[in-house]
Amino acid sequence: MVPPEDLGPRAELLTAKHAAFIKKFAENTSNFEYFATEHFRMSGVYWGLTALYLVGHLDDMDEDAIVNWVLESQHADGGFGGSPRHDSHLLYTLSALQVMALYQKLHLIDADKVIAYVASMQQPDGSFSGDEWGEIDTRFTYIALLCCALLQRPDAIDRQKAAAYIASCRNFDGGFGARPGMESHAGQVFTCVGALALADSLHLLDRDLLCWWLCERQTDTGGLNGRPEKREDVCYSWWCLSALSILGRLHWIDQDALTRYILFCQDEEEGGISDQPEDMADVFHTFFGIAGLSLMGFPGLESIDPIFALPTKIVQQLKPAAPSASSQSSEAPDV
Amino acid sequence: MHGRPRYPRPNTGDPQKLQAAEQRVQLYSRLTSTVLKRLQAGQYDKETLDLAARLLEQNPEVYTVWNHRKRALLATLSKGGDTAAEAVKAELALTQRALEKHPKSYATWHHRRWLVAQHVTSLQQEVDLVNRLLEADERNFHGWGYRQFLMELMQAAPEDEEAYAAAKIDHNFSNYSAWHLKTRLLKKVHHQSPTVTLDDLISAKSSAAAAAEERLVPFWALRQELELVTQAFYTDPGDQSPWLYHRWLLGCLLAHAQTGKNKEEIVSLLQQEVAVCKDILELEDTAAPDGKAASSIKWPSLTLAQLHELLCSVAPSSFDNEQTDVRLLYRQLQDIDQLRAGFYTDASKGSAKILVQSAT
Ligand SMILES: [Zn+2]
Repeated sequence: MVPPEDLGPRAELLTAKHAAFIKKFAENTSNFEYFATEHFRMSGVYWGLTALYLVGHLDDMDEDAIVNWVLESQHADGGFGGSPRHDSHLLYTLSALQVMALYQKLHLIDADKVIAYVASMQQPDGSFSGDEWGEIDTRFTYIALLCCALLQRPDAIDRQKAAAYIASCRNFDGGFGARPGMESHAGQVFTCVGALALADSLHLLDRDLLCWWLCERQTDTGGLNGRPEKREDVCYSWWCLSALSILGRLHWIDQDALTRYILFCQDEEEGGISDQPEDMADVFHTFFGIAGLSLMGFPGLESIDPIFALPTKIVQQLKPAAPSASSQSSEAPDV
Repeated sequence: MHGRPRYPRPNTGDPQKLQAAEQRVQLYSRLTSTVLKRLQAGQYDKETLDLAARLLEQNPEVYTVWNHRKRALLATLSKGGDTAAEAVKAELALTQRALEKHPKSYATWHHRRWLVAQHVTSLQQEVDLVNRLLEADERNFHGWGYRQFLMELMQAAPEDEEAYAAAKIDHNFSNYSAWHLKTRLLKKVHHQSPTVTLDDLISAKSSAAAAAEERLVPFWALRQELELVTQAFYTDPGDQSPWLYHRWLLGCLLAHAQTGKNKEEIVSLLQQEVAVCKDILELEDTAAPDGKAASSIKWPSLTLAQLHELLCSVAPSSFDNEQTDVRLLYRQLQDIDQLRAGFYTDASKGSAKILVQSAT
């Protein structure tokens, strides 16, 4: 659906409404979704809190309760579950670290244990398993590299091999899939570009070809899709944009059109942003919509780091960490 | 999170609906608590596993429950024989029920892969299942990934796989997943390309190693593919899948050019492609211009620009004056395809190379 000329009440970013929407979702424990999402709540909390930070509402939430809950979700193996009752997984280990980073409480975490868990997931071919059950995915490589960067232990894993594995997932269109031979997907592209950036290996990708494929994700609605001939969806605003931003090619898409599309997906009554206009809003798309706007420099929003997926101010305080987007600026020369 | 309409708002007003929703929440949360508590205590009896199955059928992404089911199964598998085979069969049936309702559940697909990797089940049955799924949803990348996993286990011949991809494309030229598969298989079918090892990639200073992998699909095969893709252009010149594949084919031609041999053949093939693009543009020109026409003109125009650039790089002396055409084409593209005006601006300045540079 192409946004109308006049966006009406959606012409502005309804930050207070979105903040209230996130808070309400977190606190409404009589909601079916609250229980149905328990297994990935750690990521939900990260999405919600980062969105709140970007709109200047982080203080709306109970920091102590959240920090304690995060710490409770760490298991004996060093990894974090999606919530205390769920098994360790790299996905939630990263989300836990990101939440702690937002609150500048990373020092409360037993870093050695986390690092040991993350490192134990690396396979002989350089890839990473998501947990002890052997699912391999390029998302997990990004996660492992980012966990090590957040804890300032970049050399705890074999970064060169990790990057080589990512390179082996590169496709004819310049994009990347979940495993070697799998089709390119904008979500995987974000994780692979982020992984290569964290491993100082951006030379392993074809910048122009990949960025062209990414800018071809923009449809006539202004929104972005994740693969050719698919429908646009607000979550790709983050995945495509972060990769374009890391590679210095944000100007290859029409940022005004995308901004209008994201704004049009707002719910002006209940707050929140949905995948497509007039769908039900959720915290996931609310975060990715706001994060996308932040990458495009939308006025009034805190800026977000496209590699760390955390506010730039937070990343700058992590010192001396692996390369962030601010240290390898978008103006970096082509390789 | 995807595709759920905003209106009507859930549970507004109607007290009966509200009560039903409340009940649903209570039942679900009670079931979850019971299952997790028992599983965490290592209680893997039939009743608990049945409850766990019920939970997964409602919400198959609850990975912790699949994990416990794997632990429970490992004990049974160690007994071997029919007991193991039966247990795996029942577990496969559960994942199938879950996938029917949730065909994009990561956790369920992974569980099924894990089951199949126990080597007590018929692989052919799995292939039939995934083929049916890909008939219903031809772009499901979980399905494609699972199919690839099966083909590796079965050590399927790349020729057969190529035939599968070709049939999918024949059915629908717009199936990007199948075009993608073709690019992977063409190299394997024509054993000529040097295989890139992990060590090559590690030591690579540029993407040259990866580019080397794209080298040298034989001319006769490239000619065949160009013919196929041309058919797709005439069917719908606005469909991006065949054009993206075409760019890759041109990259393969360029790789031939870099060996310094067969220059005449390469130039004649490129000129043939120039003629195809011009012909499509002429056809579109005579058709009434409407909204759809923009994308029908865009792809042949962009390809034409790239072909000119390619000809200039392959045979500089004879094609130098084509540079003006290229700039004109990019200027037109900025108007036809305004969303990507920034890209075309860079391309016309020579700072966005998606073909010539990508294969060097
Ligand atoms: Zn989405």
